[in-house]
Amino acid sequence: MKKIFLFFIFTAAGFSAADLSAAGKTPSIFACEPEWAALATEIAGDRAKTYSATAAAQDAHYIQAKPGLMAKIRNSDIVICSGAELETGWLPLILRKAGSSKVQEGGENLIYAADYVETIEKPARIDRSEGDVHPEGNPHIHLNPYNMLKIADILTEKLSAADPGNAEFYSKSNKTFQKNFSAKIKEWEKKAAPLAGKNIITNHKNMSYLFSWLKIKTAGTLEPKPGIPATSKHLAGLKDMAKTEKIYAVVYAPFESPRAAKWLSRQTGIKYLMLPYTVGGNAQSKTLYGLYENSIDILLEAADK
Amino acid sequence: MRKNIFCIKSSAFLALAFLLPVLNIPEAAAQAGRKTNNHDMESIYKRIEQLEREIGKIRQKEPEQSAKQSLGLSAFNPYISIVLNGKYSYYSNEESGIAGFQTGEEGELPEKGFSLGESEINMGANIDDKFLGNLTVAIVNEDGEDKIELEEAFLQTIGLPCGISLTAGRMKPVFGYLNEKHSHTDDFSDRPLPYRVYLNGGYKDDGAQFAFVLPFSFYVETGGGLYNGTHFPASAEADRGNGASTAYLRFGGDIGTSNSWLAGASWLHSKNNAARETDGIEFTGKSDLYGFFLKHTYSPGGNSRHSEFSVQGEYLIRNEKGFYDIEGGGPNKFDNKSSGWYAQAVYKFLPRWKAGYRYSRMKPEKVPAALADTPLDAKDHRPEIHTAMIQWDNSEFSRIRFQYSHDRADFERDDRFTVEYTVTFGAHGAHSF
Repeated sequence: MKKIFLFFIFTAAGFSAADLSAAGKTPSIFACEPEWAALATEIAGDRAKTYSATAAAQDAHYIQAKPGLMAKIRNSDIVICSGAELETGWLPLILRKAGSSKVQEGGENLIYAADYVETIEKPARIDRSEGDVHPEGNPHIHLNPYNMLKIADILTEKLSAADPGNAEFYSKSNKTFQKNFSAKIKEWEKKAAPLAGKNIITNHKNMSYLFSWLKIKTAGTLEPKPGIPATSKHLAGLKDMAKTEKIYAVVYAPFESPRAAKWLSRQTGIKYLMLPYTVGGNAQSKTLYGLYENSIDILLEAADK
Repeated sequence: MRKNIFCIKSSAFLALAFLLPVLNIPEAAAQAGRKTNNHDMESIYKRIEQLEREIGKIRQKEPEQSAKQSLGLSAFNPYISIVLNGKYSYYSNEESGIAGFQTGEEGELPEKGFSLGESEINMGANIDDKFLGNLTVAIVNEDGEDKIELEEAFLQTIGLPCGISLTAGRMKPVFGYLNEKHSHTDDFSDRPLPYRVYLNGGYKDDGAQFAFVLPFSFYVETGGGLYNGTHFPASAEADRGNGASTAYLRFGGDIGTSNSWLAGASWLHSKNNAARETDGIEFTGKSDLYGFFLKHTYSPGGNSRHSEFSVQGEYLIRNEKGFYDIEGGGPNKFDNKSSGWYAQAVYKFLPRWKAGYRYSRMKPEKVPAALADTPLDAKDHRPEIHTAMIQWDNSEFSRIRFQYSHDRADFERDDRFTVEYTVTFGAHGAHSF
């Protein structure tokens, strides 16, 4: 039995050594969430391999440090994540366990998007009695499309440094992206103008950047505290609030249970909507463009119903 | 760094905001000849208003910035997390042990009535760009006395080439699935039989360990280590630093987004050239422990926050060669093999509720005639325990668990009920697989 073990160890060590000679291949981008994978695809096209650690149906905060993720991050050249503690339960652990030489906490090749934009909703009191609060502010920054423009620049810069051979290509596709996406933002803003000033109830404050961009007000959340599922007492409070305040809609993300939203809708007649939240969140949100376009469409359609 | 840049930016902006109106005056004066005064003043007022708004915005942000920066040196404090764990246990048979086996202190069950499990303080930080450090101290109660136990105190390399990492210090070596895990992350409030018997709940020791993660698209890791061998199951004279050694291989991956799995094989060789004493029974010699495990989780769409089903099992085999001395009665030659296994299933049926069942069983060694009727003789008894639990998680940071065990590990049965709380506070803990 001892011999079998030693055989495995030495064979494995041999494979590790073989890895050293595998330099110069296509760079790999590890994106913690689908929106960053979509952005990476806009910039890198087919010049890099892009992998998304989570799918739209998954809550990126509650992911476990799964073995598949360790294998992927060990072989990546660039890691791009939301940051502001969104991935704190699993990313530091897989980075530590995967033994990656290229990507590490505090290193050049690990991009925390929240570090490069203004975060909102920074808690005034950092205490867990307030729920799972993030001292650095709301981490779900991707739903403000202006943040995407900024992160596209950062990603282009880091990608070019990691893969100088394709730097020109990355810079060119970033320029195209900046131009097209900026034009789209203006279109979306015009289209979404009727939504300004509306009151919305959201399950968790994970779409605040979308609402603040479109000047929609968040009147309440279905969760009593961040990370604590809706309780009947809290929902009764929201029902009372809906009597005095005009609420436009109740929204939730694809990875959240619609039960509380449906209950409140039945009780009050307020429409409930599932917004795509990220790329792949529904059939119309296959790309970054589709994500914002479709989110606005769904919100606007609620008025016609 | 980012704060600094922001700080420089905003102070530069402030300065510019104050200067702009001043700089604009000569321009405004030059224009006075060509355009009407009214029009000029209007545009200047507009400009002033606009700048005042900008300054106002910056001023609003200022208190937040200064609050952040006053952190000063404390910004370099390590992350700290504290785990509190307490139990109430009822046993129908308090004297219950495990037939045919001797366990170490931590392989035993907690006291009946109220007891504190491990109250644990964990601290860690990146030391620099090459090392990270971790310290875990547990406060435990052993025989009515509160003791501080050093669980882990290690440093680990980061960023070495080709997926290599080295760990040195006090650690829980990688063995099987459970050994390196902290017990507060377990699915049940006690460890399964083979871990209690062969590893004293969990083997920890001082030493050095290496790990390779191989460059495959699925997860393959191999490694091993050398340890002093001063902790159960080893009892080596710590003069050469190789009283115990381990080797392991583990691999795993995802099947679609809903399924994940992990499997592994491990080996722990320990020397007992100094006697290993448990309850008056001494063992000298050497032992080899082999472990095999498999874990599989299924959660629809990978959304494990809502529902998850996981199964897990381990099979451990121990080969002991040496001498057993029963209460000073002289050495008895011993060369035998025993084994044990457990299998468990845990189902998260609501976001905050989990239920689980575990079966664990031992196959004791046949003792030589000289050891018949000693505590090492299980006769034909096969120790087994059925365990069921249900737990409620208020948040990621607190949970309450009810557990029932139908324990036939000893010759007489024992029914056990446990109510247990576990809370963690401080730094956000990891969601390990």
